[in-house]
Amino acid sequence: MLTNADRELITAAVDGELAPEREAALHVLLARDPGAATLFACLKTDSRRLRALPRRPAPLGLADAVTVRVARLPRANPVTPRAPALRAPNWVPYAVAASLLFVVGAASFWVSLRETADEAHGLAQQKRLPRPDNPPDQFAGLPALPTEPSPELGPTPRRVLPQHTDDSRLATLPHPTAVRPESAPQPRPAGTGDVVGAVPLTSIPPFESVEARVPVLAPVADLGRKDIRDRIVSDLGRDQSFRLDLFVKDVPRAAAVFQSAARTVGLTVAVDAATQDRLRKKLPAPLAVYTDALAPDEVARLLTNLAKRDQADKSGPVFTIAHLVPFQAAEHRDLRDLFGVDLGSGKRKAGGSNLAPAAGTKAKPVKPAIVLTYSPAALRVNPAASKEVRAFLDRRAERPRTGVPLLVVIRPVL
Amino acid sequence: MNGRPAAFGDLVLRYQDRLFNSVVRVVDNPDDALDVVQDAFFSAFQSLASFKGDAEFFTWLYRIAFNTAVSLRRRRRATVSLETGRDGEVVIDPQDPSAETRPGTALERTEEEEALQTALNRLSGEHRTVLVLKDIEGMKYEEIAEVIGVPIGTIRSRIHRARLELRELLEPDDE
Repeated sequence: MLTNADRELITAAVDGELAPEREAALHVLLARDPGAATLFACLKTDSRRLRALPRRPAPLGLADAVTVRVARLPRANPVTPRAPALRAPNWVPYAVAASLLFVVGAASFWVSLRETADEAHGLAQQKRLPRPDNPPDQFAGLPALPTEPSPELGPTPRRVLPQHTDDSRLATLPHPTAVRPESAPQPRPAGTGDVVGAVPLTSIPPFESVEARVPVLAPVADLGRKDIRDRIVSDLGRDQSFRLDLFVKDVPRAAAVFQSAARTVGLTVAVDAATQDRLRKKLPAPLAVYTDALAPDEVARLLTNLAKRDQADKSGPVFTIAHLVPFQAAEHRDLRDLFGVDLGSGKRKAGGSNLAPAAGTKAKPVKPAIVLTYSPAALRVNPAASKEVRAFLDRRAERPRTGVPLLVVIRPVL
Repeated sequence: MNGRPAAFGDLVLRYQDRLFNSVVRVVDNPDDALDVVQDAFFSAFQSLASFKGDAEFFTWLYRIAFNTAVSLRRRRRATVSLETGRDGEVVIDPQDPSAETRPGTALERTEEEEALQTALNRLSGEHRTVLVLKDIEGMKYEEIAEVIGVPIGTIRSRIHRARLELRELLEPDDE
């Protein structure tokens, strides 16, 4: 009967990891116990069979797919290692701030002390001077005041005082009780930096109202809210064509949820064959879904259903953010590149359909859509070679005339 | 490498076959193995700065791959595949979880390989992983411990139990 220790000895030997000092014990065991020898032989055979399994090479295109994924990462600036900076103690910034505060406070206190002393001196001077009955020109002999004070002068002086305190002259001076307005320094012109002396606004021009359109940017989970639905319907009525970015955690899963929601508004979604293949391989490249068969309210209903289905998904929501913007030049170029023709996305289809249903028939309006690989551009299918694209272009002629050209881009969140 | 995708592509080409071969034996689904290997290379690229060179690059890459495989097993969920119907419109079918009925996963296998892989699949994930690393990859205990991130003693006992369990599973076919 083999013990656990015996079995461990045997498996270690099969692994080729037996310590030399234990090899003798193995030989003794194998010689003593036929069961041990049988087990050893069987385990060696099992190991040999595993090693002989055929090698499975990686599928073609794996390296390309990884390279594509890696190339889409945002480039980080190379970080050059720096010598560790000497770190100042944590209290240094506070000490610097406190020192500055002290200096500013002390300077303010000193300035105010000087001004107070000057005022006191001036007042003392005024008290000593007699008041003449008929005061002559009070300011005769004083230095002429500048009519236009230059901006580089200091603060407006509060008192006009003589520079020289000569007693004889002082005796003739009147008591300067106040500075007369006509002799006071002219106010500094506006724009010299003195906020207090700024020219008051006498007339404020009326504000012009500007209407800014902000693209719809909302969590997909909120697309069922009435205010967002109304906003989407309103926006879709204001421009010709739109791009809807749907940011998702898993592109293939999101595509399936989108397709399921699209069916609820009668949209028939075809998938280009090359794109199908990429979806089966669960490659995360962004997808483009194009349709111009849905009216604005149908688009809003599609998005509401999308939000509901996404929230109800057992695996958890896969959609994150929705972003709706009118076409720019880039989107028109993208469509021409994807389809090989100008779809006329700059103008909505006018007039009725050329394929009016025959009298008595109740033909359902055709609402086609197609899923293509959106990026990188190198992976886009050649539209001339895709029978799905050709079929879509053929069926497109039968779409309703109220449709909004809509390019839905399902993008992975990186 | 300075983050150049093209240079990393050469690295992928060098290691992809070996890594895929091991991963496909662990997850037994070429689609899942492809996901795991792609995700592993992608994660490795993002983590290149953290590779200190204190282990073989392949050992480090393996560690990432097997952690990814474990994560995949844990979050195993129903997935939906897009297939087109007769008229080119998309039909959604829930994916059949059994390996035998999944289109595209049928491998051309000999009976021997079929028996071995079936037995491997019946092992627990831990046992399957250590046996694949030991016998298919030819790693030593220390390397396997490095990849899986457990002590050598744990590796030794896991392989021991895995071999005995595999033996029990293969015994009826051998008789």
